[in-house]
Amino acid sequence: MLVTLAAFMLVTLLPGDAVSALFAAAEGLDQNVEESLRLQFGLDRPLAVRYAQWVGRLAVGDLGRSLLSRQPVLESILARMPVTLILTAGAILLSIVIGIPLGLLAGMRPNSRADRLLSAVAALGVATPNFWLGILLVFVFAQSLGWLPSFGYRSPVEGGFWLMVQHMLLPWLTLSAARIVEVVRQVRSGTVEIMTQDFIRTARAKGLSERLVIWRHALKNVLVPVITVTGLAVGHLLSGAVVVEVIFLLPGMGTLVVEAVLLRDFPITQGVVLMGAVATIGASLIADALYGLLDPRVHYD
Amino acid sequence: MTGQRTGWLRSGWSVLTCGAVAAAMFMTVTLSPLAAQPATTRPVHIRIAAVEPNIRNYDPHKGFSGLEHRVLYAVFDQLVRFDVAGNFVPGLAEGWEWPDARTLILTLRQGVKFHDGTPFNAEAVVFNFRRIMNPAEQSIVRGEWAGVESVEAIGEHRVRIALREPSAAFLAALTDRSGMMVSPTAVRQLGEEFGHRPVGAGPFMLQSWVPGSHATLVRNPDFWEKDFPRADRITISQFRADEPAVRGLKSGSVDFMQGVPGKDVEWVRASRNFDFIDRPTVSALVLSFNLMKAPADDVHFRRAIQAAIDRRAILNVVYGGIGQTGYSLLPKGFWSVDPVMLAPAYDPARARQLLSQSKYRGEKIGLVASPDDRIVKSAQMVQQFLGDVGIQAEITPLPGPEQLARFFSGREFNARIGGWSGRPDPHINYFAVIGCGGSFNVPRPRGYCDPKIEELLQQGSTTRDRTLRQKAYYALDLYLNDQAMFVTLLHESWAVAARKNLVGFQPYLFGKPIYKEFGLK
Amino acid sequence: MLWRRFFRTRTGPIFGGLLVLIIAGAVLAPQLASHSPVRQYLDHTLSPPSARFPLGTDDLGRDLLSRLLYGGRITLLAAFVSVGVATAVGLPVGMVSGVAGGRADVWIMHAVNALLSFPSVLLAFAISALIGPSLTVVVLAISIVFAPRMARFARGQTLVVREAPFVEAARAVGASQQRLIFRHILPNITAPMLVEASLGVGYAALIEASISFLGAGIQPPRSSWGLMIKEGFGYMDSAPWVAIAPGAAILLLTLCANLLGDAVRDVFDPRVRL
Repeated sequence: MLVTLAAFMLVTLLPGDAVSALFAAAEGLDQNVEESLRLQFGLDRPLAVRYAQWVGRLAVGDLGRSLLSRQPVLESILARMPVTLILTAGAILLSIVIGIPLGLLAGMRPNSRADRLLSAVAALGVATPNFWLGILLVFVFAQSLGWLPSFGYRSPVEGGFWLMVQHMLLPWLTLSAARIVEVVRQVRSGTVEIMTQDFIRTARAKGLSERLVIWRHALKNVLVPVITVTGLAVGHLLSGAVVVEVIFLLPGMGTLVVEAVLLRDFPITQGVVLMGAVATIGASLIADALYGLLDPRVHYD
Repeated sequence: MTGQRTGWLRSGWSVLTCGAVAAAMFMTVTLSPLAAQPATTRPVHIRIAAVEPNIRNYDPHKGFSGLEHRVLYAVFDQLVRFDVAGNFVPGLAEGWEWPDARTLILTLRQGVKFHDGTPFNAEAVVFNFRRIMNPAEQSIVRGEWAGVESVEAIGEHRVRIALREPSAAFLAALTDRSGMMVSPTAVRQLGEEFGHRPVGAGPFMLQSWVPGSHATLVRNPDFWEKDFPRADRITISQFRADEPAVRGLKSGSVDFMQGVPGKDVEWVRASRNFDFIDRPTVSALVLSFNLMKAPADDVHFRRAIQAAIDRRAILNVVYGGIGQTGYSLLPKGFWSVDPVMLAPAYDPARARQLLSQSKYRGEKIGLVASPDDRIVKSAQMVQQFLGDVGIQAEITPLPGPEQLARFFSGREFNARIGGWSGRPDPHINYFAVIGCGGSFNVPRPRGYCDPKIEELLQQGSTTRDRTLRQKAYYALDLYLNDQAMFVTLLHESWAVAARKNLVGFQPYLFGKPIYKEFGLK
Repeated sequence: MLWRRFFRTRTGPIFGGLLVLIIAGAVLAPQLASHSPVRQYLDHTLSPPSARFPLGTDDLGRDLLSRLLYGGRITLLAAFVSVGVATAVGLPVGMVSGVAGGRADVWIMHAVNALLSFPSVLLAFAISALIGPSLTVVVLAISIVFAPRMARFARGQTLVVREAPFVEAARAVGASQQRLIFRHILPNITAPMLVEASLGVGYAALIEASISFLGAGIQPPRSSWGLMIKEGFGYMDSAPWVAIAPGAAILLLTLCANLLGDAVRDVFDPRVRL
């Protein structure tokens, strides 16, 4: 509930309303029309009333209509959602697929050369602005080497799965860089801790091969914090997705909201911001649930 | 930590919303296959790059941006059209006559059908006109109809329009949004959805549109001009910035792009795949003032600014030398612009001298700029040129709504640098920018009113005799430049990159491509 | 004692020193820069690095080194001030929440969690763009993003300290809430809050850069590192130096802030042997 209030306040308490935006774009409305538009959009009513109405409609899944395109907000968001979903899901997958093996590698041999190299790369990774990384990746892989397309989105339906992957590879890398680092850190510290514990020594003493030991025990123990970290990182990922979508011109919710904000299209801005918050909360709930499932020591009381 | 998050888990609200999101995600994923496109038989497919915002409304009477026209011209035929020279030619109206100066009778083309199969006739045209004029519909072009007294059908294919006073600009309105005919049946059925599923009588139908990605136009097999459209399918990729569109050209995924950035002109010219086409458009970059507020109420100060700016340098640095430096609000070559007039010269010494005669005493002046890369860069150059003669300017980039609330209202700032996308008739242009009550005349709603300007505007708009109108506009330009009422910095070029085998592109002055003419060799 | 530990971390002095250098560069920009950051040399647009322009020039012919130094002032100012404001707001809120407990705690944490659930860049971008971009608004926007983070962190630390024996003892002898907060809790959570703030500075710089890049931050002709990247974006193939230098600067700043934060944490953590 507080989330809806915050989302609403965020976009309403601002100068330059949408009717003026419409006017500025159209270059020729007269004063009367402007006034009647303002009435139509209900901009004359008190804030509290508008908020109550907004929440009321929200309850039945109605986010209103875009002030400019007159398309239902939910429809425009749903149309953009698959792209953002593919982008963030791919980045999560990539961070796990790359992050876990690297983390294990570093954690099994703490302070080895590989470990030190990884931690240096990790420090760099966290500190790199993702849009700058994206620009560099485009420059190297798309413009100089010409290996990958530098922008745009092809839906899997339209051009097949592989074409989609080709277009998404650089955005995925850009978005997941910071996540990979996070996962590596988690897995590394988890592995270091576990390697010294009794059951691993026992397992080794029993003559199990080292690799098997790690797969059986370490991985299972390390997975839990990774899931938690990933669940909590969805907010970061969505933030990053906004910038990545702008750089790579992906028709997702990020490009939608950037434009809606600049054109003062309140309903769309409210809708996307709210969706972002809901997704963030949802992800941490899912992470909680999985956490409980994987770690029987956790009890919800 | 866990305790905190289980707090969320316990609240039923968040569980519900998550369920809703999950359901929505599921729906989107399962529904998306519907967007699959059938293949066309004779595939002449042209790929266009368009740099434009991607929130759009393709209802011609209700949209809000000049950039929508590229699709509007394809989906909707207009009653009257322009040819390349800027003359009126028949469109959906086969002909028109003026029985007297205040009455216009349109004769409609017969046998034309809208995309949904319903007939185009006088009844449909009257529906369109009444839709625009109805205040409840809040049409964006209702202002153009303020001088219209009544419209009525006279027979199956004739429509009479009665004006309150003679207007030379009204016919020009029928070449634009006001003359784009929508299907009455589709409007009634679709309501607000019409802006996403537009139904007209134009050469193309909008087959699919993924906002922020691309729109696909397919040929209308029943289009009344048998030779058009030449292409079967046109895909318009929508880009939010120049850069990725240029990347599209380089990678070969684009056949046509308008507005190639100056820095890329060189390689397009040298390219084996593309032609570069440099032709003027009515679109201009203009420095305008709040003429009612010091120091811009002082003609010496404005003349100083006029002389201080090196427009050629702006054209070269920001626009790669493509386009023309400005003199009139409209470009050289347009019929209302005197071909022998010269743009005011760049003369910093004169600017300093003019400044010393003015009331300006070194205070900071506020300069608003539209937040577009090229405009902001141009503004920064202007700032430096002004600084060099002793005028301190501070730039504030502001999006449209804020400009309206803070500059056009007369509340803040002294001047603005912004694009003027241009209108087909000179009267519409001058009236909006400097006419008494024009919507771009600061401060709104009346603005700065000058009897001399009003008189010349009146002379130009009440006659349809082109030589008489020309005389009025030549005199108006002379006066506006002498008084430095605004400074036209430059006129943008088409700056088109077109694949070598693309044919049929014509550089219309109004600066918007007509896709039905596009074909491939 | 602490200083000795600090110097033993090795990364601490190195990256702390670098950070001081970056800050000095920004503060002394007027003395160090050889050109005005806004002067356009129209005959030298997009020149590669040279003796006259050590980092080259941008598309309007401005000296990039000067822009970088002056831009650093904006980026650093935005980062430090916003984290400062966020701490000033978040610390008391978090402490009160932690000490008070009960219903007040639940409600405060609900509000904090609600704010935290908005994606940070999106929130800062929307606030900044909608109010109207200026340095103050950028600072405000980043502060709004950070304040709930600081509040949550302060509350967590408070909860830890609250259970400590000496606090329990103070409470047992009837110390007032104020006394508890100012005498016992505040001094003990200062160190971790400092670490958190220093890590925050790096992240705040990234957010500032992101919103400037999206066009809602500092406006030209002023420069910030994010804005410089935005301006250089279009010239990656013809003049890559325009975007590379400011990106590297942000990278270095964030790297220093993060590693310094890590080092300081180790200094204060008695379990870490140095």
